[in-house]
Amino acid sequence: MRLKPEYLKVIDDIKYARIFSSTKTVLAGLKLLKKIVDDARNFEELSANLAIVVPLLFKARPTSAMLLNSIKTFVSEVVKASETGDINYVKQHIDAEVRKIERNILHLAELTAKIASHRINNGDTILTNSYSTVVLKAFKFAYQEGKRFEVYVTESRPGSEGLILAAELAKMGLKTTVFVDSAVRYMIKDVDNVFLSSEAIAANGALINKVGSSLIALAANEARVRVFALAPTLKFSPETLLGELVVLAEGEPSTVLPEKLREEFGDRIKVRVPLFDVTPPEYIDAIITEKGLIAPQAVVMILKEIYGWPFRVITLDEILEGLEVREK
Amino acid sequence: MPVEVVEIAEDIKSMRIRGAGRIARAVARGLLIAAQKFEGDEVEVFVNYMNQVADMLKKTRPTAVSLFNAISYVVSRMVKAREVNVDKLREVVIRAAEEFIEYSLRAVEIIGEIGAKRISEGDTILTHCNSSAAISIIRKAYEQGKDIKVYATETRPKFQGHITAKTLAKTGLDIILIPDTAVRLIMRKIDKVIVGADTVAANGAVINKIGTSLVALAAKEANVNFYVAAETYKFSPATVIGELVTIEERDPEEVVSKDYLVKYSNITVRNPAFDVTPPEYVDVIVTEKGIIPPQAAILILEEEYGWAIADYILQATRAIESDEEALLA
Repeated sequence: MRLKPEYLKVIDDIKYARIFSSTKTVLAGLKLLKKIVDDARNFEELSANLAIVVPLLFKARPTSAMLLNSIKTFVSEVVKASETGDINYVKQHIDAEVRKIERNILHLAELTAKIASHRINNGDTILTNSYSTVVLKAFKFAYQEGKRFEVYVTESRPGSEGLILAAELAKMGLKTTVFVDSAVRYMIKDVDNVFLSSEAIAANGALINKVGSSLIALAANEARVRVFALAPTLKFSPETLLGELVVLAEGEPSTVLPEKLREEFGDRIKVRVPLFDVTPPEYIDAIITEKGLIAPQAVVMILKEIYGWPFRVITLDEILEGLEVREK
Repeated sequence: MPVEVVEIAEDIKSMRIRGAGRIARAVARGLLIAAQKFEGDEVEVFVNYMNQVADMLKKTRPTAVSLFNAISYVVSRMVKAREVNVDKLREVVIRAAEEFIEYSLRAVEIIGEIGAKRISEGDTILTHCNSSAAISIIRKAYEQGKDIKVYATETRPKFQGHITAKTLAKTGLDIILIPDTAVRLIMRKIDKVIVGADTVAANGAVINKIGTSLVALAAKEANVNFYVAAETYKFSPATVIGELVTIEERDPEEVVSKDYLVKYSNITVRNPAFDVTPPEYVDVIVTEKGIIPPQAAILILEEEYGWAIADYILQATRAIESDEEALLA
């Protein structure tokens, strides 16, 4: 069975991080899944399409815990609604459910941002990287609260999303400074707090985020500057409780390898384009969630609240099995 | 003042001659020509004349350490000689200048030979920016038949990593380019980091391309050896008496496009060209005179530029003399 090109395009955009911010990426993924439900003429088509797209979507951004968590909720709802045997009911149900998931994502992002804004004081200089919806929101809240502070943004190669974040901050009226990623250690002495976004939080409190985040945290640690990771609990990865390692996705080689060098030297010059890296918990002062600030080492407490004790984590494969049964 | 010497000064000033090594050799040649052209038989007049030429050359690029050191190299030998015969003293100056030019040309090669001994079979090396001394070490190790793998940071804002990749690829080495942000992630795979230096300070701090200190920090964290390759004329005698090395901030357009700057005129773009790597993050500095721990930078400075340091101290002494007299009065 061949997938519609429009489905594949969304997956590609997600895979090569063409969509800025992990929140927007997840919303784009959900939109794609909902479209598949909307487009399906019958259960066979629905199951067949989802059976292909769901793993593809997950693999497009295996690092994103929120994407996986959202996909799992989505598929569970499809399986549940499909028990009625009424495809139109499934469509209605999913329409409502996706809206609920989206609202929840945005609500938790806002709540997290609001709490994070409390850590910004008048006269502070905050350093951040990449482009994050939650971090941007935190700055907005603090600014609206009347706080006057300055934001340092690294360019954030590859992708240079930092330039886009800086543009939005500047439009908002915030004093914004941009510099190359390698200038972090040089500039850190003027910084009060580092705000990092999150792609995933592992069970041990490690932060998986845009590549370079761990380098910033390292420089901050050396300079005794505080580091906060902004992460709604949807970004906590339950799979890591089961010992799974987070897969770090790679981006398009052309973002680092100029065409001219590739032509002239072929395989002699290779590139690595990691999109994410791992910041160890000891470099993070606190993880800011919608439930409040926690030490990274206390992440398991929150996971226990969600997944019970002993942990009961249903994997994506188990959920997909429900879909296959329906197919028969 | 000989016209050829004035021409050299003009070329340096207008940046027709640039690059630390080339500038250094050009001023040495200037001193050499000046000595050859001197007419007269009084040593004192010759020394004054040479000092004038030196001062004129120094003013062409007041912040270039290599230029200053090339002059010091020659002038200190002239002073140390304590020669009473003009022709013999002229010979001292000419020989010193020739020696400097030759050593400058050979230094990079010798650094390669010395540094390559620190590279082991199967090593994975990381380098930052584009340093001919660092490349010399990597290339030499490769020529010795050592199976090595090289990672190069792309080095924003000017992507000098591309030049490094090109140079090494032409040698036959396989290169892996990475964005600067991936340094900590990649460090687990690295055995040795080799970088160049713009300036080495008296305490062994290394001033080099922005990001060098971040690479050093990540190397330290991962317990990876961090080597600096630097010709001795990159050591700064002025830092011995406490001078700070000025970090140049360059054009923002190197970082973002002109359109971006115009469109978001309220964004400040900072573009520091260098940063300072503290000596405790540097394992060794490979110079053409041998390998030293960074804290022994003063050894190089004393041996190579003792005269310059003494001169600085003398100037400082003169500066406080009137104060002391006033206090004693």
